[in-house]
Amino acid sequence: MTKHENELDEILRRGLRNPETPPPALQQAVIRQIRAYQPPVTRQTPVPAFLIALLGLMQSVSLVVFADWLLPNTRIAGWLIGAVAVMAGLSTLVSFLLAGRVHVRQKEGESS
Amino acid sequence: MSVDAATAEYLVNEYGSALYGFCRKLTRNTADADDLYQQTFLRLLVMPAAIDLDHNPRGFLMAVAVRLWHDSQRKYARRDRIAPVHAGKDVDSVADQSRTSDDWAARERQNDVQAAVGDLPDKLRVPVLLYYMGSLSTEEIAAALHLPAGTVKNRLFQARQQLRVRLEAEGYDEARE
Repeated sequence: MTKHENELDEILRRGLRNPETPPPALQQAVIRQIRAYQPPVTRQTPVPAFLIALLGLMQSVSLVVFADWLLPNTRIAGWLIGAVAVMAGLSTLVSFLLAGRVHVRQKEGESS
Repeated sequence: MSVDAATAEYLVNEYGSALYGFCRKLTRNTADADDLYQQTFLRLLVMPAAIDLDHNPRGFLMAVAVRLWHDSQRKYARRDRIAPVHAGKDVDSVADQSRTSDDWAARERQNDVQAAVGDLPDKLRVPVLLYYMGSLSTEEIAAALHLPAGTVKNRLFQARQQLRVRLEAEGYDEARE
């Protein structure tokens, strides 16, 4: 930045940086509103995220068992059960990851 | 996390004057400035981002005010169409209340600078106010205005050019190249 630019900057800074006292009534109103402000109560999660993930896991296992019972010892059943097992495993994994993330965020929220 | 009431009150007392001056220059209208001033502090109580008191809280407050102003600009524009308020006069009349005659020349210079900045189009005026009043970096201004940093730099450059020409015409030797 050149000397002239610095000089212009200084003129602008001096010219603009004049604080203006807010009217006392306005200041009082702001402070009153701040003091009266009630932070919203954080809604607690009714069922913990890990419990939801666990229920999901149990549901997935029961789905695989049911598929095996419905179509026992067939080739299609084997593929179907495999696919269901993979999808159930993935969704369970994702559920636990999300539950972990929620847990970490809640911890961060409590500590700050 | 959001700002607690005690911190907000501290900010009102510590930076209220600076923010109020900024709001008045931004809105160019006392009623809107009062409204924006209140809204800025109340927004602090509900906004998810925390304020870092060690890193230019004044600039942070001004950035919040600018975002609120942008959001409600339509409302202000409508009000201005219905009951137009001349930019300079409304603001100056109140600002003059606390003035003495001792530093009249300095205040004249301030008035000239403020009038020159006030006449800039909003897209140049707002970055100028944030840069010189809030001491925000171009990156911080870009974040506040949701613009690329290069655009902000360009607008600041354009604004400086226009202000230099205007101030030179008014006899500011320091602004001469």
